[in-house]
Order: sequence, then C-alpha cells, then structure tokens
Amino acid sequence: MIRIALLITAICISITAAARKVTIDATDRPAAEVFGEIMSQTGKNFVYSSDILKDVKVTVKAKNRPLKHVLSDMFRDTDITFKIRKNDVVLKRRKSRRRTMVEVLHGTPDIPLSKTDKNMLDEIIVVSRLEAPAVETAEVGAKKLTEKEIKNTPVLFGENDVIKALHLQPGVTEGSEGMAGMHVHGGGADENMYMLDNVPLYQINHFAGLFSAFNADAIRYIDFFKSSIPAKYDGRLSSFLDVRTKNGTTEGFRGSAKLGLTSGALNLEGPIGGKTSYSVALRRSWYDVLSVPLLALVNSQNGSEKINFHYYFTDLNAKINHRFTDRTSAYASIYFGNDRLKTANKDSDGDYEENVGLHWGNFVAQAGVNHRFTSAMTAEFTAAYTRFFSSLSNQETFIDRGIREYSEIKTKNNVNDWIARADFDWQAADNSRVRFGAGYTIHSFMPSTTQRTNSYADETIIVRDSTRTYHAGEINAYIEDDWKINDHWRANAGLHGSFFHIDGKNHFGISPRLSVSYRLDERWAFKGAFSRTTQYVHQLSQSYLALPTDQWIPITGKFKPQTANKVSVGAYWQSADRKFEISAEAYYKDMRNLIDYCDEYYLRPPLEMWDTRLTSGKGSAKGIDIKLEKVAGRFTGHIAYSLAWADRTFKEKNGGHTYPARFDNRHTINILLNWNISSKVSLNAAWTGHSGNRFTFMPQDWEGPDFTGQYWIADTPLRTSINNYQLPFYHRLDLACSVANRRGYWTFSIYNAYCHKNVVAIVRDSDKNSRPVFKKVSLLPIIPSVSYTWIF
Amino acid sequence: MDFLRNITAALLALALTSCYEEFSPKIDTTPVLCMNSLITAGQPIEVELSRTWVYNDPTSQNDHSVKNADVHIYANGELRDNTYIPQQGDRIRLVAECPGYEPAEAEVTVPYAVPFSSIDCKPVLLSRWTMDVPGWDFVEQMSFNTYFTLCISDVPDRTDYYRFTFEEFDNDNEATDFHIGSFEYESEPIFSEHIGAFEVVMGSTAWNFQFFTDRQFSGKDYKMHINFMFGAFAANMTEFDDSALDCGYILTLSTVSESFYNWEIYRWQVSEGIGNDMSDVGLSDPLISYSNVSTGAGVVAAQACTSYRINMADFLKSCLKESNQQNNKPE
Repeated sequence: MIRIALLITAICISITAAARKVTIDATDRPAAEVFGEIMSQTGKNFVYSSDILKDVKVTVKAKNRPLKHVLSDMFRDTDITFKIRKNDVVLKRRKSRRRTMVEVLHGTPDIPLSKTDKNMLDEIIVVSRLEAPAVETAEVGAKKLTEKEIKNTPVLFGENDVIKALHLQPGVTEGSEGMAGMHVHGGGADENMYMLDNVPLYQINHFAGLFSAFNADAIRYIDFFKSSIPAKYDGRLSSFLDVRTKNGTTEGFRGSAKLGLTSGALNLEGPIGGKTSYSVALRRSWYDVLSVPLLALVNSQNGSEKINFHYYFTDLNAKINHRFTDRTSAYASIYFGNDRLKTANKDSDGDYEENVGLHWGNFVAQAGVNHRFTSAMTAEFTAAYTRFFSSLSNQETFIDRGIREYSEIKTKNNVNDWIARADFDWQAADNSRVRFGAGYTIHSFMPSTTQRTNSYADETIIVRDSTRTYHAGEINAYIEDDWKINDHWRANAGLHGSFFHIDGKNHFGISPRLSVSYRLDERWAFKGAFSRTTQYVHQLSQSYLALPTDQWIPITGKFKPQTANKVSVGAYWQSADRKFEISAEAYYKDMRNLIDYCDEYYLRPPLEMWDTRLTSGKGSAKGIDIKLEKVAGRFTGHIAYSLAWADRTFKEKNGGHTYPARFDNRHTINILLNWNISSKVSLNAAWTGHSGNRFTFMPQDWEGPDFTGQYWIADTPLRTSINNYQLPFYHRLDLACSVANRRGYWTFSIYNAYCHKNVVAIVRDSDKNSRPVFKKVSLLPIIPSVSYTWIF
Repeated sequence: MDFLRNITAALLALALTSCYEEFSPKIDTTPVLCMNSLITAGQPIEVELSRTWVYNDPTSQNDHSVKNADVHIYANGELRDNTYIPQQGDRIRLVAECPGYEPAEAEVTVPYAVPFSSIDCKPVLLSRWTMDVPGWDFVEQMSFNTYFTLCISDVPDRTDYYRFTFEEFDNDNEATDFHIGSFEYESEPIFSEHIGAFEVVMGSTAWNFQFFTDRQFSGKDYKMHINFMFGAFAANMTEFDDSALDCGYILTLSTVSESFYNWEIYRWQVSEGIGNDMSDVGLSDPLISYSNVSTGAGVVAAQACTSYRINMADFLKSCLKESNQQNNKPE
C-alpha cells in the first residue's frame, strides 16, 4: 500500500487573489517545505504522490519570478515534471503511465491501491470539495453549489438553473410549478437577495419565470445562506444567494458551445498577454426562430389577417481580470440579461394594425480592485451599477370609413442603483478571521410612468399618469469575526448596520448575527444561530409569474422596513471516511412589517399610490430540515426532508385573521442522485414531493346584482378564508443523462418522467351535460429535451 | 390584444393537454344571506334577498330564494318603513333577517349629485342623401358625428365616483328614424384609468365601462371628450313635419357610492382583467369578490343622477335647410 501524501490547503476560491510570481530563497530544503511557502504566495495547491518527493531536497533562489520559471529551476536536475492546471501544480515522474482520479474530502485520506497499481501509479489528479463539511464551520443553513452540482440537477427543458438546483435543498420551496421563483423558510418571493458577484439583481428570471437569469455556464459557484447570514449581507429577509462568475483562464484559449431545444450558449475564455484574462458567456433563446413555421401556418389560414410574434431572451456575462502586481489585481465585468416580446397584427387591407412591445431585464456593470496589504490583510474595492428596466407599449390603429382612430399606451418602470463598497478580510490571528466593510448605494426607483394617447381624426388627447421617481440613499457597514475558540468551540459574531434615507425620512437597521458551534469530535457538531435581517424594498407582483409589470418599490409613507428575527439550531454528523453527512436544523422565524396586497387591491386604479393597495402585517415560520448526503464517490446525492409551518397576519387581509402562507408545505422530500457510471456517462435523478400548496378555494356562489343592465345576472364566488384549501400532494421525477464524446457531451433530460398530473389550481367549469363542476388543473406533463455541448 | 391572449391560451393549452379533471372537494359550507340593492336618491328602496349555494349543486343554483325574510331600513340611524324616499347625503343601513341564517347588513351613503358645469355639443355632418319621390314631400338620410365636451367641476376634499351613461330620444313619428351612433370609449382616457398597461397589452378594453373616479382631477374641472360616431337620421315623410326632428341625446352623470364603483370594477376584472385567467391555472391568487354586506354576499349601492337632454333638432334642421338650398327646393 502506498501512502499518498497530499498537500492541499483551504479551498481555492479566487484565482485573482492569488499571486503568480514568487520570491523565495531556499537551499537544500525539503521540497514539501518549499511548496508550502510557494503556496502561500501563489495560492496554488501542490498535488503529488509521496514517493515522488521522498527525501527530495531542493535549492532555489528567485525574486519576483514567474512560478513556472521557479519550478523549472527547482526540478531541473530531477526526473520530476510539473504541470500547472488552474489552481493546482501537479507533479509526476517523466514517464507517464496512468492517471488516477482521487477525490479528497479535506484532510489526508489513505487511498488503498493494489500492488499492480503501485507499479502503475504515476499521476494523480486530486479533486477537492469546494464546500467545507458542516461539522467544521459555525454556520447553520449555508450551502455552496458548484457549477458541476448545478449542471447535475435535471431541470425543465434541460436549462441548467441555479435556482432550480436550490429547490432541492431542504427549506427551499419552488413556489409555482416549473418556475424559477424561490421561497425560503416560509418567506415571500421578494425576500431573497440575488447577487451577481455581490451586486444585487432585481429581475432574476426569463420567460415569465420559467428560467432563471443566471447562465449556468458563466457560474463558478454560488453561496447560499438561509439561516446564518454573514454580516456582509443584508437587505432581504429570507435568504442570500451570491452567484460568483468565472474568471477567465490564463492557460490558453478555450470555450464551449451549447445547442439546446430552447436556447443556445457560447462560452469563451482565455488570456490576453501574460497578466490579463477574459471570460465571455452568451446565451440566447430560440423561441422566435421556432415560432416562424408556426406563424407561417397560422397566417396561411388567417386570410387577410397577418400575425407576427417574436420572443427571445438573452444573457451576456463578460469579465476581464488583470494582475498589476503580486499584490494587486483588478477586474471589470458586465451582465446584460433581457427578455423581448414583439407582436404585430395587421389586416391586409390596412384598416387595422396593432403592435405590442415588451422589453425587460437587468444590466449590471462593476469594476473592482483586490489588494493584499499584508499577508494577513486583503481588501476588495468595488464600484457597481445595477439597473432593472421594463417597458410595455401597445399601439392600435383602426380606420373606420376613412376616419383614423389611434390609441397607444406606453409604460415604463425601472430601478437604478449606484454602489460603492470596500470589503476587508483580516486574518487577525491564527484562530480569528475578521471581515469588515462599508458601502454606499444611491437608489432611484421609478415604479411606473404611463402615457396614454387617444387620437380620433384630428383630435388627440394625451394623458400622462405617473408615479414620481423616488431617490434614496443607503449606507451599510458590517463587521464579523470568525473565531475558532478552541478545538471544540467556534463562533461567528457580526453586526450589520444600515441607514436608509428616503422622502425626508431616515430608517435605521441594526442586524446582529451570531453563530456558535460546538464540535464534539471529528464526527459530531452542534450549532446555534441568531440573525436579524432588514428589508427596505419590496416587489409588487399580481401573479406568481415574473412579468415586466412587476415593480420594485421602496419603503414609503406609512410603511416601515420589514424585519425578520430568526433563531436556528442544528446537529451535524459526518462519517469517518467523510463521505456521508447528516444534518438536522430547526428554525423559528418571526417577520414584522411585511407588506402585501389587500384582499381587494384590484379595486384601486393601477397607478394610484401603492399605499392604497397594500397592507402591512406580520408572519412566522418554523420547521425542521433534515438532510442525508453522500458527498463523494461515483455515486453522490442527498435525501432531504422538511417539516414546516408558515403563516401571515395582515390587518386588511382575510379580515385580519391569521392564515397559512400559500407555500405552507407541511412535508417536503427531495431526493437527488448523481451516478457517474464512467468517465463519459453520468445519470442524474431528482425526485421531489411536498404537501400541496395552499389555495383559496371558494365553493359557494351568490347572485351578483345587475345594477347597470349590461350584464346577465352573474354567479359570484363567496369569499372564504385565504388559503383555506390544501391541494393534493405534489410529486415528480426528473431525469438526466450526460454522455461525453471526444468533442463534447450530449445531455438528455426528462422533466416529470412519470407524467404525474400535479394539481396547481381548482377551477369552475361545466361537464358535458352543462352541469357546474369543479375541476383540478395540472400544468406540466412529461417534457423531454436534449442538448449538445461542444467543447473546444 | 386578443391575439396575444389567444397565443397565451394556445401555449397553455399545449402544456395543459388533458390537464383538467373533475372532482368534488370535501369542504364544509354554510349558506349565508345575500342582499343586493341599488338605492337612488329620490326613489323608493328595493332590496333583493337570496342565499348562497354550492357551485356544483345544480338544485340550489336554480332556486336560492329565501322565505319569511324581513328587511329593516335605517336612514341616518332611524328606522324607517319601506315607503321612505332616500335623499342625497342620507346614510342608509339595511338589515335583513331570515330564519336559519345569520342577519345580513350593509350601510351606504347616498352621494350628492355633481352636475356638468358646461356642455358643448359639436355635431358634424358626414354625408347626406336626398331623393325626389313622387308623392313624398321629404325623403332624406344623413349621417353625422357628435362631439361633446362635458365639464365636470369636482368637489374638493372628498372622493367622488362617477358614472356616465347615455341614451337616445326621438319622437314617436314612424316616418323618421334617429340613431345616436356608436359611443367611442377610447376617445376619453378617463374610462381607461382602471386598466393597467399589461392588461391593455393582453387585450383588455374599456368598452362598455362607464365608471371613473376623480383621482386625476380631485377638486378641479375636468373636460370629458365624448364622441358619438356615425349617428344617423332618416326621414321618409309624405308631408314635412317639423316635430319629426325632435330627437337627440340624453346624457346622465351619476355620482355613485364607492360600493357601486367597486362592484363594477370587480365585474370588469372578472370579464376583462387578466387575474382570472391566471388564477385559473394557478399562476395568481383568485380574485376575491367584492361585497359590502356583512355576510360577504351582496352589494348595497347608491347613486344620485343628473340627466341632460340634448336636442338635435336645430342641427338636423340646418342640414335639411342646406340640403334644400342645394336642391333648390322651397323650405
């Protein structure tokens, strides 16, 4: 048996933060010692088998020289070669025989090899796990997902999706079927902070929410926090999702192109000179192309009426990194994601024409500088601009007996944020890591501006009906200390302070955070956490879809900032071989000053001040999340179970009585299985099942009055308690298979594999004998999809 | 845009293949009293009482009447009998009682009428057709547009809800025929103020919706632009009769109670809004019905109306005069 010695430091997170040039002076020192020093300067991990460096001593002297040159000098007179791969330096003997993949789960594992293998073993590729085991950290309810994990989650239409991957985590509910929304621990859809490299995104969906705005090909990893919230984050009540995009490689040009049923994607990355790298990811949907034959068919049947319909969405992520010195690097990035819908309807005789345009999306631009002041102190300075925009227009022209009638409506809403921020990371002591920082954001909210034009013959009336632009200033500052008290105790204590100024009013938010863990032994840990979060903006949406009419509005008028206090405790276990982990987390969340539409919000004109349509209230959520996970091996995955309660109480909703939240899903089970059958073939399966969503079911009718004589007597549903009915148990299985070939890989996926008709609503209808009946509605049946990704 | 709505429906239909399934939910229900009434200033009060029924119970749907019910009328806090004539500003409370049901009650204030402060009428002749028929003194047809500018002087410091209605009047002379033409809801933006941009995009219109608020002109004057297009007048008289031209428009501006306005907005949302379409497939909350009755069933509304009679005789006469001059006919 050969004992493999591995030297891998903490998880590699940022290539940009790692220096590539080396200064070293070593004479006849053990190679392993020298590697440690180089590692601290470059951030590179050294991967090798112990027999390669047994009793090897090296002499090397370099001052601010590239790593490659230093290593060349070091191994000049040996039979050892090296290869720099991303963040690893892989060492091997000159004669290569065989490659072995080893998965390392923190620490130094023993890997048994046969005698035959002993002679064959030459190169070992070590793959470390990005996420630290839960027993080793202080946080409760934190999750780090890598690009690979996201891509291993089977999803609708094969569109890899960050948020849908998170739906399989305990405590996270998908909301409406197939949609990319997210409800965390009983929270609302607008209570999650979505960030792209730590810059907030307001609109995170495409196609009304069917897909998320995050292109999985552009993602390096994501950090997700739902219970212990790092002090760095605030501004939403329920969760924080920080999507970290890829840095371009300096190892040469490479890329991939993906062709799927619904969209295509192109990713390119590479170096520009020796110090600069770039990364570009572009994704675009095909719906407009796919709809061409359908429209041609419709128009051929339509006679004089011609219809045009174009819809597409686009994402562009572009990032450039530059290393100025060993200590200083910088980056600049942009993200542009938008949905555009255009329709036109025209009579061939020219008497009638209608044009509709919808355009909405996000634009984010940011630039930052990373600087290492000392070996213990680093900082990141960021300037960013994030914009959400939405516009709708409808023009209609009708010519009646020579007289031209024209009507038009145009509406816009947008949010513009300018952000400046400084974040510091200070290794105050071996057992204490302090993070602190401050930022300032200038917000500008334009919830709606609408212009209606009515024209008849020579007369034109234009009415502008707008809310005003709200300007707000927000200051944030935070500090937290991750303190390893001793071998058993670890604490993370922090404080986030915020100041929000709008309409002459000042709002202050003090959000303390505390996480404490007690590690009983190598296998067991127990944790407790408290976090308070404060939210100054909220989203108005009349449906569960992500529509261009959704508005982000700030706290104004009678409303106060929303707050949530959350207490959570957890127990964690990992197996001796670190392949299995079990966690059980319980939480209680108390939410105040929540904002929602009144029962009869629709009675107020859409452009009236939102105060009249909204009501303020409170909510609570509690539950237990249990998760069994296999984190290593060819077969990985997890089984998660959640037991949860969530309710709401609003003065002007449900008569002031408490009612269950729509996504008050008592039981939720998520199973995710990933099986790497071989180096070329992998299978993924995800089964999800949960108690049905709550639904406001109105079984009785009353006779509505006909005061105007314009309608027939209408049967009107009798209002009932909100969310009084629970829909049947929801469950479905999604499958995916990835098959690699020389050029790339195929991905086959099936959504809702056994085609279970999940009930999403109950409607009133009539049977074949015209008798009134209730009917259950289900949405998405089995949907297969395929895509091919070409790697170059 | 109906087309867009149809496309949405088509896409949903693709996804919804065989996705409707009948079922009878098990949920307890208790019928309650339903009370409807539209109280008009200056007219006796009428109240309709019935009860609720379970939607999929066809028997109850056909007969949901109640027996032995009593209705009590309170005006400004005092109990009145059923001959009471409500006045503008009256606070009317109706209480209905029926054995086996919880009482139903509702209160409404009869609004004060707000007359038009000015009315400007501008008829425009579009076409005219005259024919000499032996034995007939007068054969004439014409079409015209009528443009009204109606000024509302809104009362400050209170919220007013308005309803604009119209009808035609004509003489009883069978030899003439008068039509006021089609009313163009699109020509007056105030009728669309309850319609959001997305609803417009999805094809919702203001057609036939007669209600609006003073939200955009509270305490100020507002000029409504009311267009009636392609009105028509036809006369086939053996002997010209001046009274045959006595026809025109009756325009009514009503101030209505908030409950009346809310009920009509609800009705519009059900028939034209997009909320119902989306809630039917589980993509939005169901529309909560509007009611101001304590049981949640029924609407008690009130109104005060001011009507104006716009006689078009002069316009028609001037057209005829011009016509006769052109045809060298004696007037």
